[in-house]
Amino acid sequence: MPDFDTVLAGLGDALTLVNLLYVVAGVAVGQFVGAVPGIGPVMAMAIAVPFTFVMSPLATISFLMGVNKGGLFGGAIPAVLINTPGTPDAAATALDGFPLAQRGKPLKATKMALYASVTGDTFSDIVLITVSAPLAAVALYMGPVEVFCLILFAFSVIAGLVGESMTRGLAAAAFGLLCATVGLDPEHGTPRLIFGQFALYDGLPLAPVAIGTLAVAEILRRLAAMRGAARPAVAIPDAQDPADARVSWAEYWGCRATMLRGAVIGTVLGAMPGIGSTAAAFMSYASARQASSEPESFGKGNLHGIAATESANSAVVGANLIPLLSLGIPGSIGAALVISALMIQGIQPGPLLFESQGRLIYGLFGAMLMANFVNLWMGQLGLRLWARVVAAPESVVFPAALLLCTVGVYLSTGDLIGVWVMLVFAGIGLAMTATGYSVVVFVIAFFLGPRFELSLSQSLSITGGDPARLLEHPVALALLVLAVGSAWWMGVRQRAGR
Amino acid sequence: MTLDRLSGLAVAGLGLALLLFVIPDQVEAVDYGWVRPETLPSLAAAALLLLGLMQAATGRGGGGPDRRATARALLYLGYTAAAVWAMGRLGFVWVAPVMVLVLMLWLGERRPLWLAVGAGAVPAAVWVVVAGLLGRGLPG
Repeated sequence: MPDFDTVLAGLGDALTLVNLLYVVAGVAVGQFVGAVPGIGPVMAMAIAVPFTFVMSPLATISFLMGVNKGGLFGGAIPAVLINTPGTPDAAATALDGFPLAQRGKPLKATKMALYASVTGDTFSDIVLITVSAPLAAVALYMGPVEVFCLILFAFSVIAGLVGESMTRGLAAAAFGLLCATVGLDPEHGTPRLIFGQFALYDGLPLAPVAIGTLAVAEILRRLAAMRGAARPAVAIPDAQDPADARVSWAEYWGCRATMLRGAVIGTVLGAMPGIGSTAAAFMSYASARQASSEPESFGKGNLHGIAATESANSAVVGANLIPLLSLGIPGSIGAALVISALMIQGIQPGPLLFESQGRLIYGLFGAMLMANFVNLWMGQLGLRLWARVVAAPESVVFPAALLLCTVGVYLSTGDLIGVWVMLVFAGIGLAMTATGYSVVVFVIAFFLGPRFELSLSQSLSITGGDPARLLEHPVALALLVLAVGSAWWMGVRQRAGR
Repeated sequence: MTLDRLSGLAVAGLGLALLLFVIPDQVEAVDYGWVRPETLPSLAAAALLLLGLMQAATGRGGGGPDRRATARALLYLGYTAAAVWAMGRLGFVWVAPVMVLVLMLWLGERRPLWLAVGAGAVPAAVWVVVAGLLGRGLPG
C-alpha cells in the first residue's frame, strides 16, 4: 500500500490545468462519439490509443478515462431521443428513455440519464479507491466454476426481460450463444462454422453484430416507417413546462435506492472480468422492475428505469479497473485498451503496480473523480446541443447515422468484412423484431457466449463432471441457487402479470 | 397459421438444419475433452429446435408485421449493401456523398440546405476526422 505522501503527490499530479484539459477533451470526445450511433467510446479509445504515444502516462489515462466515461453517458442520448442506442450499454436506457421522450419530456429523460450516470460512476470510483484491495481479493477468488454460475445467474435475471413469451426469449438467447461459437473453439482450437472465411477465425466481431442488430436494424425500421414527410427525429417542444425539462431534487432523491442498487450491481459485475456494462445495465433494470411497486409502468417512461440502467452501466467503468490494476486482467474492452496504452508507455499492469507506480495510480484516481465532475458539467452544457443535433430531420439523421455506422464498423474491424457482418445482422435484427424475438437478449447472449463456453469447459475439468463437487465451491453454489430462485421468481411474476 | 406458429416452425427448421447438416459439415469432430467443438453449437441448435416446436405448438400471436414496412426496410438494406459494395470498389470519397444524397432524395427530402448538410458536410467531416486528423484509411 503506497504511503500517504505518494497518494497526495498522485492526486496533486491529477489536479493540474493541463491534466484537466486532457480530461475535458476526453469527455467531450466521449460524449460526442457516444451520441453518434455506431461509433461509441470503445471505438474512439481504440483509434486514440496509438496517438497517446506522444502523451505522458497520466495524460494518456486521463484522456482515455474521459472518453470512456463521457461515452457511456453519450450513448444514452440517441437511445433516449431516437431509440437508437449509441452504445450497446445504452440499449436498456432506451426501454424507458424513449417512451418518456415520446411523451414530450426528452430533456428530463436525458438529464436523468446524466445524473444517474455520474452518480453510479462516482460511487464506483469511490469503491475503487477505498476498497479496491478487498474487492480484488474477491475477484481473485472467482474461479471458472464461480464465473460459470455467475453467467447462469446473469442469464436467469435477463430472462425477466424477454417480455410476454419466455420461449421466444430463450430462443433468442440460444441463437446468441450459437453465433458466439463461430471461430476457433476455446478448448481445442479448431475452427467452427466459419464457412471457409478465414476472417472469422477470431469469431464474429462484437461491434458489427451489436451495431447491426441494435442500431442499423433500428435505422432501417425508422427509414421504412417514414412516408415522405421530413419531420424531426424527436419533437423537443420549445415552450414546455419547466418541470418537464428538468429533473427535480425530489425526483432524483426518489430514485436513490434504484441508483444505489444499480451502482452496486455495476460495481460488483465490473469487478469481475468479462461480464461488462451491458449485462449490468439489464440486470439492474430487471431488479429495479422487480423491486418496483408499479412494474407495469416500466417500459413506458419510468424514471427509475433510466436511473437503474445508467447508474449500473456507468458504475462498471471504475470497477473494471479493479482486476486491471490489481491482477492485470482487463474486465472489459475499454480496460483492455487502457492496458494497451499503459504498455505503450512501458508500464506493466499487475499486482506490483500499486508499489511501483503508486503515484500514477493515485493520479489516475484523481483524474477519474475529476472526469465525473467534467462529465456532469459538459453533459449539462451539451444536452441541448446534442438534442438539437439529434433533432435534425430524420431524412438527414438516419442516412448520416447509416454512413457513420458503416465507417465506424470499418474502422473497428479494418476491412469491409466487418461491414458485411453488420449488414447481415441488421437483416437478422429486422427479422427477429418483426417476429417478436428479442434482439437485446440475443446480443447479451452473444456477448457472454465465449466466456460461458470457456468457463463451462474449465468447470467440468475442475469438477470432473461431478455435480457433488460444487459443494467445494460455496460461492458458485450460492450463485446457482440465486439463478434458480431468480428464474422461478421471474416466472411467477410473469404468470401473475398475465 | 399465425405468425407465432410460422416463426416457431422457421426457428425449429433452423435448429434441425444446423443439427443435421451445418454442424457436422462445419465443425471438426474431436473425440476427447469435456466440451468438444460441437458441444455448445449442438446444444444451442437443439434448444432452437425444441423452443421452435414449443412456439409452433403454443403460439397464439395475432397480427403479423406490416408487410409494406418490412419490404421497404429490406429495400433500404439492399440499397445499403449495394452502396457498401460500390464503396469497396470506387472508394468512400466518391460513393459516400452519392449514397447519402440518393437516400435523402428517396426519403423525400428536397431542402437544399439539408441536402448539402447530409450529402456534403457529413461525409466531408468523416473524411477530415478519419483520414485527415487520425490518418486512418476509409473504405476503397
